[in-house]
Amino acid sequence: MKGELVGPGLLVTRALLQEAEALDLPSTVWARLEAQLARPVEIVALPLQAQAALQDLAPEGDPRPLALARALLGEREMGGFTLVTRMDDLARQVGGVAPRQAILLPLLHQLEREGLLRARWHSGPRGIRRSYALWRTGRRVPFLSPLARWLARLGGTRRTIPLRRMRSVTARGGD
Amino acid sequence: MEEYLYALERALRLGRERTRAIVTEARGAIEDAIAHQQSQGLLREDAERVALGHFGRAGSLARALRRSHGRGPVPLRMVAVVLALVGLGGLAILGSMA
Repeated sequence: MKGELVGPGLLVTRALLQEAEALDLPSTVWARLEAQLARPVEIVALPLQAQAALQDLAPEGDPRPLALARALLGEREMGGFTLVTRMDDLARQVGGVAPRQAILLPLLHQLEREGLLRARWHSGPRGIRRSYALWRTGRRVPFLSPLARWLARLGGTRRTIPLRRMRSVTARGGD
Repeated sequence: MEEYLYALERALRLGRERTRAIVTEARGAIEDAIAHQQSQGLLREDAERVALGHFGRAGSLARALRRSHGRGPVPLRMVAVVLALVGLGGLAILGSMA
């Protein structure tokens, strides 16, 4: 339904699955990923700058933090600290790479500015906090400009599916 | 923490409302991180030091946030182009006066 946030559970894209297949993940993580594959597959086209920022989470081309970050961003609404903690927990399972707030906070702001995340303020037990959630695919995500698509291809990000095509793909329920 | 947040606020330069919102968000995230470290057994002072370490230097965080909001530093290439255009304009004026 339009306007809904992505529901509970990891948002696993086909691209993420392709990445995960090459990662030699522990069975516990695989079980979570596979459980999500039974759900309708959503394909998220991250803005180019956001992809670059997420890549910064990975040392020397290690794709594991990127895969985990992309999965967690669609899991549920959460604050920056919770997101870091979850990423840290999951990253430890697959290789011990822990992202820092210094990277994640600007990334969250960038993803929100790009229209991929929705942010809201709420009051918690320790005061006012800001939390983020992923918009359902196809909402509030600006189309990639032709220049951005060309740059994405040039940068070898072929797994990113342009939103225009993505909508037709999701409408058919697969590829 | 207060010194860190003050330095962040001064370095952000994103307008009063947005800067205040970001500092409030950062304060909450730092407080959560401190509480987490304290739950692991650290004293408040040590917990604060560890938590702030995860945020990096205030100036670096501010620069990254400014980039996220499309307010990065002016690219050197753009400065070079502007200076070249001014130089060419000046030469053209001098040429016309000669």
